[in-house]
Amino acid sequence: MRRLNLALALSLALSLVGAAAALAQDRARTKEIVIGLGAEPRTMLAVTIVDWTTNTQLEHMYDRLLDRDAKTLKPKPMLATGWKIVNDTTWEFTLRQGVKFHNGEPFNAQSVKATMDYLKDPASKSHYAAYWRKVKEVQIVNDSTVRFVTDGPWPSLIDRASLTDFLLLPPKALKELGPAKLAEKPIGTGPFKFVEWKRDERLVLERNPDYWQGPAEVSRVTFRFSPEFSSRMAALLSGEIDIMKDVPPHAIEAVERSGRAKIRSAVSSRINYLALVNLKPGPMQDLRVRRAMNHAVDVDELIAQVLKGRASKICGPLSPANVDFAPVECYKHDPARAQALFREAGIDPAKLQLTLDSPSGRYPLDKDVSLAIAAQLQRLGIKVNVVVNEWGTHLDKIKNRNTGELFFLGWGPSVFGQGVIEPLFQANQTYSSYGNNKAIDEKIAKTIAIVDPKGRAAAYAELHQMIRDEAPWVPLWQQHDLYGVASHIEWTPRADEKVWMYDAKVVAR
Amino acid sequence: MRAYVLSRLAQTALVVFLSLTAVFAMVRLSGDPVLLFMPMDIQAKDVNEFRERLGFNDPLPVQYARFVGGAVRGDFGESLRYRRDALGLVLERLPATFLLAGTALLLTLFVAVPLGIVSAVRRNTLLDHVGTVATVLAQATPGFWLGLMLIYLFSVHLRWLPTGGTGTVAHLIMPSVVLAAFFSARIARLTRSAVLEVLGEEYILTARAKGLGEGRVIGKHTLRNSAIPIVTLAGLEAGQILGGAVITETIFAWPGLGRLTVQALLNRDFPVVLAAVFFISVMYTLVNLAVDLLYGWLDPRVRLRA
Amino acid sequence: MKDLKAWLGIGLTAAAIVAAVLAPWLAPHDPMKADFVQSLKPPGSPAHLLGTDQLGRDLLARVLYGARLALFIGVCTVLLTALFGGLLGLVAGFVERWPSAVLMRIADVQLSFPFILLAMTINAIVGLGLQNIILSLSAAGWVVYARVVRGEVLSVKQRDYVQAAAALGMSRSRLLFRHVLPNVAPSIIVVASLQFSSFIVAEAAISFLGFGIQPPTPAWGSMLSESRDFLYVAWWLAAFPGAALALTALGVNLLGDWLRDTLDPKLRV
Repeated sequence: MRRLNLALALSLALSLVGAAAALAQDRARTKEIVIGLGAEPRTMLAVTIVDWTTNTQLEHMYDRLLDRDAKTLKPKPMLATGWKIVNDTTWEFTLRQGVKFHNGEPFNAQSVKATMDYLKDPASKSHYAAYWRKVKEVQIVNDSTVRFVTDGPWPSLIDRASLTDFLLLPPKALKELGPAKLAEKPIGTGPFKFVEWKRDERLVLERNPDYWQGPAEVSRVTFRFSPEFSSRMAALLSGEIDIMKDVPPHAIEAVERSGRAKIRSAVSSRINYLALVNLKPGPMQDLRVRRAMNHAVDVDELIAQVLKGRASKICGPLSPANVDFAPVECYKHDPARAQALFREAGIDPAKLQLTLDSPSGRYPLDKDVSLAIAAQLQRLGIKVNVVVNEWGTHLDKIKNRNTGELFFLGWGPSVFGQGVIEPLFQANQTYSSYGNNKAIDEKIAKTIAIVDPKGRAAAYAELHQMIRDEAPWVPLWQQHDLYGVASHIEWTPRADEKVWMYDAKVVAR
Repeated sequence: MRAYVLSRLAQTALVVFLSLTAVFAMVRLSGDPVLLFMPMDIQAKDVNEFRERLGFNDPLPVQYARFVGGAVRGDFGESLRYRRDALGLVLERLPATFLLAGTALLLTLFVAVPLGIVSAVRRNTLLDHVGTVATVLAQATPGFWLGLMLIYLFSVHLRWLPTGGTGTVAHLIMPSVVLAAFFSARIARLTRSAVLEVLGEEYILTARAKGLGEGRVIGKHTLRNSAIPIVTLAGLEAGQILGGAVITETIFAWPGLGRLTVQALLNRDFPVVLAAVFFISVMYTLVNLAVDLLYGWLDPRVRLRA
Repeated sequence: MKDLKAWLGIGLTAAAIVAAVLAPWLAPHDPMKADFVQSLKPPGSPAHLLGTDQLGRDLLARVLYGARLALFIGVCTVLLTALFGGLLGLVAGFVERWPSAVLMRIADVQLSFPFILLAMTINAIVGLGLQNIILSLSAAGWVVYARVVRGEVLSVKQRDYVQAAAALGMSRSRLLFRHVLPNVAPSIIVVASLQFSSFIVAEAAISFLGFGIQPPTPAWGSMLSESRDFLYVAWWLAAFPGAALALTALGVNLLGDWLRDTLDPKLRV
């Protein structure tokens, strides 16, 4: 009897042990990938809610109208094979033929129109209605040609169409099943089909054998949701998950040493910056003070010491990853010049007291960077009080112009100029820290309407220089996205933060 | 007795109503409800449009009336974050929550209470001292720290147990141990002190003098009388465990109600917060009602008056 | 044996108090001074005995200064909660009828409040920081006293000698202070000693949720919470504040035990 008990106990223990260890090996053989994410998707219905986590997962089941090239980040064909501008207010797209949705429905011009109608419908309460406001209607020319008629020239339409801002919905299913059902059991044209969604736990997808680009190499993708960073790290180190995002620079060694995973990094298009608020009375309203701040903060030291070299310095709001980028000169780190400028503005740095609002955990080492900036400014005698905010509070404060003279924020993916400059340098924009500059306001309005690519590039170059000279920020860097990727998986992260398992290969050990 | 129970149930309804009102006020006053759900590059006029459409531009009393009207019917509105029925989201979490809470409570009862009794009976022996130090350390270790240590040892190093999620018994072990640890310690200590007190009473000496066996002395006479403070604390803890296991649930990625509530709060997702508070306060007050009824049974001299 | 426990309790508590009081003299460095070049150094070097954190701040200094906040938070919250909760529980248990019911229902309402909502509301009023923590913890902690004390009072009231004294015409206040309170006192003391340590540990939980002591102020709980990100990289950032927290809590608890033992004559068997 006792021996039986012992045997039972032993086999139970062994099964528990075996269970965990066998998992990773099994997945390599069956070509399954598990991705660890910090949050779960908010819905399974495309073009409804703007949220990176949601869209990253939806992209596996739905396709975009246009994709972006991984290296150049320029638009490239996906469900649309060609595009051209017909006249000032019309874009025309040629659609790919022979594509089917997961339920057998054909993809054609009707799908495009139905998707636009859905997201513009007030009953859908879609966030994307605002993004596509300039589109008056979608005209069906024939089954494989559509025209977007806009209200005024919109050269950046092509940029919007090549993000997750236009994932295609199945019109027949939309009509017959309705959005509510599709929000639970999605149907798209993507490389993976929906299997199950256990709320707050996992989303499971399986390969779509009829995918128009050819079936994916990965047979099954599981997204596991674990809100605690160190638990995700543990899961990566123990082999329970294969990919995890946002590994902090100081953990790189631990991951590489474990032998189970490697770090793969991409220079992200997401930028971080220190805003110098001129929207309310204070020292930052003086151009000389803002320039002095730019000379006072040592961005190179921040990158080297706090981020361990894992960031790419930027000199203005547009980074090289942005298609409208034009180079501008950085302000050199020069404490003497900073002192001179402060004095010119009538301020004694030793008597200056500033408040810096920072989020915590939203951007890589945001809190630590803010504290480090405060320490750097302390060297000139400036007293900086760092206020760490919970994310919701941080956004509230910025919106209500309730922050200190300085705040830390990030913005991205920032792949085209209008998406960065329009919302961040005008006084009437929600999250702007700078505004009331008529020259810049006018320049922005003119630039975003220029259709001719050469003219536009020149205009953006001038605009970029104007903004740089006004020093509304201390521009910091482009983030480096550090992903922990299991050693048996080949996958390269992208600058536009697209995490797409169609590109991944499993190399069985 | 029936009058007492009915009166308590009426009071429960009042408590729930007051809780909901207080939470409604606090959450509405804590910041812009719509902003957090919007993408960051959205224009101000679009945000306003959304606010209008979702009814947040109406005066507060109107919103409140709308909320109460819905709540009475069990309709807490649609989650702002997930676009789904708020109460439905809460109810979905219940099986996992009860599983974890139940296991933790069982662990507590079957480990902590005996430990406390033994400590009291074998007072000032090595067992007692070791027990004291162990329980204090269990309490002095923040739950998340204990959880992460266990994960490091059993998941990363030994690969015996999974780091999180649900599914098998293996998934349940670490979270319930972590959840139980803190509460067990308190219950063990209180048990010990309550039992000690009763052991010092005269009727115990009498029982012993009468020649009753130690088992009966402890079992019959001691436990019943020392039970009151233990039961009180256990009742409080049960409620806490049900609604407040957020840290354990976060560390172990357990899809429970605590985590849902906290995330809804941080995301300013009012409908879900209200639905969750509704549920938790109903549970809590019912548990307390049960505890008070238990008082009456344990100590008949305590006559419960409404 | 019993004496050993008492001495251990007194010793650990005294150590914490000494660390708190003498921190400015005992600490080898300024706990807030950031020195990036020295970041994440392991313990053992003469310059930094316990190592440094991610911004290069000396851990030993931060642990010593952390004692100040720990003790301060503990003392303030225990006093607030014991006075407020204990008094209310005493009255509720003694008087019964509607004050008892009202009190218990208020307690129910407040307990079914998610703790974090309490913290968030207080955050909206006083902002993040020390006052927030003390107020939040007190608001959450008084209920335990109230309920436990009320329960005990209800029970004690029924005891023969109390009933006898009442029948003999003893005034209510004399009953309360002469008979009920001494019986309830040990529970209050034990709960207080449990609460003290749980309050300083709760500070860690609050930091975990994001409402703790803000940087760069050193507090054991928030240091522990921050150490999560460095768990696989710098074990000392979790180990030393954690040890300090655990040992202080242990000391205070043992001290509380000893106090209870000396104050309650019945238990000197």
